[in-house]
Amino acid sequence: MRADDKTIEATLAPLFAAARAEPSSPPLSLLSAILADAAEVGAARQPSPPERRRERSAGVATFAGVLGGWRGLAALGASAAVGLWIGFSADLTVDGTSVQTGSAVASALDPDPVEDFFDLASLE
Amino acid sequence: MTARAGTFPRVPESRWQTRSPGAVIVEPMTTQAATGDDSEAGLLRRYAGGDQSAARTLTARHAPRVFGLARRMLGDPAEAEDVTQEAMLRLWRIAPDWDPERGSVGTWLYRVTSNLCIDRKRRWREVTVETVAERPDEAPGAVVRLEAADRTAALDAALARLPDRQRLALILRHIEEQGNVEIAAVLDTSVEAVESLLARGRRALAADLAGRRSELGFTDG
Repeated sequence: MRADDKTIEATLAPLFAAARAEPSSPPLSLLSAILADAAEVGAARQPSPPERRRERSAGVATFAGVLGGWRGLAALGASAAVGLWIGFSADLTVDGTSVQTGSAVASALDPDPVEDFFDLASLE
Repeated sequence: MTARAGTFPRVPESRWQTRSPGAVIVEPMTTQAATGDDSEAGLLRRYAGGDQSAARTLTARHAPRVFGLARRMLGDPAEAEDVTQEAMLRLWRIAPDWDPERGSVGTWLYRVTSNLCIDRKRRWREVTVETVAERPDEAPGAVVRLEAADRTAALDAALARLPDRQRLALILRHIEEQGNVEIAAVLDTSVEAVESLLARGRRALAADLAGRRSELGFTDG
């Protein structure tokens, strides 16, 4: 550093010292806004609840796809309902590959659970 | 982004510890209240993981210096608040991708703040800068010992008349007390270039203030 540079630096030193001593604290409103931004940016990075529900629905859709889509899933559900009906019904005669039912049993059968599964298939 | 300058959401003042008017401490202030890694990279990692206390610590450490630099670069407290909020917002956004190899958080923030200030000044009309740099009226020939605040105001006015990079180098070196290596990182230049900027800036500053040596308490030698 040149001699006159040193002189200049020494001359300016009191001014810089006064500037350093002056408080430069940000106002409270600015600090709270900065922290609000931090919270907002952080919250935006977290997965939202609707996204988690869509992830669960995606899992069900994958399972349905393994079975051949919603029709396959509906057929499985229908088979399960018929099996349940056979198991609880006292008037059934099971012969080979067919199920014989009395008219009373047939009228007592509530077709809605089976139809509901086909209704699901129609929504595809 | 949330509210701009002048429309910030309010936090009850009972949450803030105040030592004296103008000095505000944001809690938690020190590593005593924090858990886990309190290095800068660690704090950013914790914040990115959802730890808001890390954000408070980072704000307490860096917001005052960012604001101080912005205020001296722009000469306008409201503009300085906008720049400070923007700089910290960029830190929050980059937190998950922070690479410690890029240097310290403080240096990175100084660089972002500098660029924001210079961009803002480029958009201003030149007459605005001249207005900020005007000297206060004074009686011809009068020798008045100015108070420290007046000396700071005179310094700020003289700094405002310097080219941006000289001004920035002087503020970082002599007010923010950063080393030449850090200043070189902020300005994206060499240490030798920083030394040259500082030397030229000091000479220009001294020449600008030469006519007010007595008032400003200049001493020889």
